[in-house]
Amino acid sequence: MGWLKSKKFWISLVVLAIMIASAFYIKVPLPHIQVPPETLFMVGPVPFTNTMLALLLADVVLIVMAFLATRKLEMVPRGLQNFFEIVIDFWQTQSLNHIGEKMTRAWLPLVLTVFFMVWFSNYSHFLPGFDTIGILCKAGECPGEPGAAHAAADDHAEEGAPAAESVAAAEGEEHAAPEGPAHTYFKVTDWNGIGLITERYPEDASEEEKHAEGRVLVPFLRVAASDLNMPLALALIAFLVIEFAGFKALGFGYLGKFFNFKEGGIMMGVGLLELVSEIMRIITFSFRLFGNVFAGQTLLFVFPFLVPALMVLPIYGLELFVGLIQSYVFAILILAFMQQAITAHHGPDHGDHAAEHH
Amino acid sequence: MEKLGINVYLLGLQILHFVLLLVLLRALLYKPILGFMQKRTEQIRSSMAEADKVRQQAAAERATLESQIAEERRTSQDRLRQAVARGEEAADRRLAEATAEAEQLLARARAEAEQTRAQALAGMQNDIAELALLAAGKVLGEAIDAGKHRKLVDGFLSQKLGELA
Amino acid sequence: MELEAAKELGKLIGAGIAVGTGAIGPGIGIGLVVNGALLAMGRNPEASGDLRATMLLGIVFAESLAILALVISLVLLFVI
Repeated sequence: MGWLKSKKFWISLVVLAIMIASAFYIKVPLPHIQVPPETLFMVGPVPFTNTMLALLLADVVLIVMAFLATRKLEMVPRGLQNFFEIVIDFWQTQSLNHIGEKMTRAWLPLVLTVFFMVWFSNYSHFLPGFDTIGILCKAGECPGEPGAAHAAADDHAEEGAPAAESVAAAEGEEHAAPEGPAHTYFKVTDWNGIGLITERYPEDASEEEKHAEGRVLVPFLRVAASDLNMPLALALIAFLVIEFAGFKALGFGYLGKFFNFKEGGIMMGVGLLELVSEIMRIITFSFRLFGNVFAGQTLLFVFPFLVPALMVLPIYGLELFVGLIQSYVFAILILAFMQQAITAHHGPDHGDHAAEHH
Repeated sequence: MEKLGINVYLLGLQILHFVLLLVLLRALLYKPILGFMQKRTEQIRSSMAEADKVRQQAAAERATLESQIAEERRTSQDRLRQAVARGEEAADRRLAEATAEAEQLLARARAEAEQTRAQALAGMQNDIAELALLAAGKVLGEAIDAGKHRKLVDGFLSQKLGELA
Repeated sequence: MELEAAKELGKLIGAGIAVGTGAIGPGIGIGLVVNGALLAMGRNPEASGDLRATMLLGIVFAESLAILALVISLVLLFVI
């Protein structure tokens, strides 16, 4: 019966009790999980999304930190300066190991920017307010949705016929809505323009009723990398940079890596396969970051829904780990692929190339 | 693609954002920090070189000083050894002188004593011989030839006294 | 309508199978990579820094196959 006296046992018992009790007494809604980012407002044809806002927030944090760190540089680094020096020194070493000194001078800022941007935007997820504070709007009428266009068109009623058409479209949409994507509806009891979520709809409420009265949440902030555009943009940049570095280092001989007709059919096949994998890199690059971050976000949605209290803490720990690892992987992959691109083709003529270099 | 959220405008916006961030951070963070790290590395290297130089100088100075010290020590030891030798020599000489003097004194004293004793013995022998001759003359009634017997008595006495001495 | 429902069902099942089976191979691969790296680190602890970096790269390469499966399932779910 020694375990009755151990502190750990009682602590775990209390934690378990809190978790079970919370599952009964606190009802956390499962937010609507969707892949595209939610639009906050439109600037002409360009939607300004909540992921963009979160990215700008992360940028502000990063730039303020950078500014504070470099304001007064000291010989013996302390605080923020030390932090940035450690990170930059680490990447400088990695870069020197991978792509050599000349290339490092050219590409180190890019690698560092990728690392810092992904890292800070991933870690911004831990700020309170992410995914939870936002606009409440009627489904289909949220900013960026067809209903919003109808509302906007209403404001400019002079436009006439197209407005009427969009109204009709919105009407049609409204009737079809219950079959569309399942939203999480909130019952808004106090609506003073600000909006307070007070309750969730009871589970037996009909879809039509929810759709007619309920509001859906469009959060102001959502992790930047859970919007496919950001990883894809980074992947495109990385791809272009890698190809550019390859061309710069090897000239048009770089193409010989992929179109290798001299050494028989097998090498030709290998070269074409490399070309395919080269292009596939854009997809793997972007979806690796997107998948990890989106999965983490979904976990953070689902766990409080299952067990409202405390259960989510380990997931936060996991997210801390994943956020850092993904930024590291993104940056180190750029370096590794660039190293691959700038080293000469591994073939029978490899020795000649090596001889030329020396 | 639209359903995955890929939007050409957003993509362009993201690329633009990245480029702007790159330029901004390059000016604000990387250049100062990398330049500063370079400067620090150089400063450390130069101060290390300087310290090396100073250390070498110090080592050289130390070597010369040590050789000087060794030299000094050697000369002083030599001097000491000489002084000790000289002192010992003087002491020996003085001792020898004193010993010789003492021996001289002793020999003289011994000789004097010997002389005195010999004189005493000779005196005593004479006296005894005279006494013995007188006594014998008394006994034998002048029959003893002083000259003839005197030699006999003297021989006997000198033998006996020689045994005594 | 039943055709529509069947299509929806097929998408869901297909997405699940795609990501589920697509994760088997990379899972085994990542396990092998980490296994080798840990053995090497145990044998030669001084080189663990380099080994860890290379291990992460290997993991990432194995993982890209799982990511392609994820892309397929996402396309099945949201695009088609």
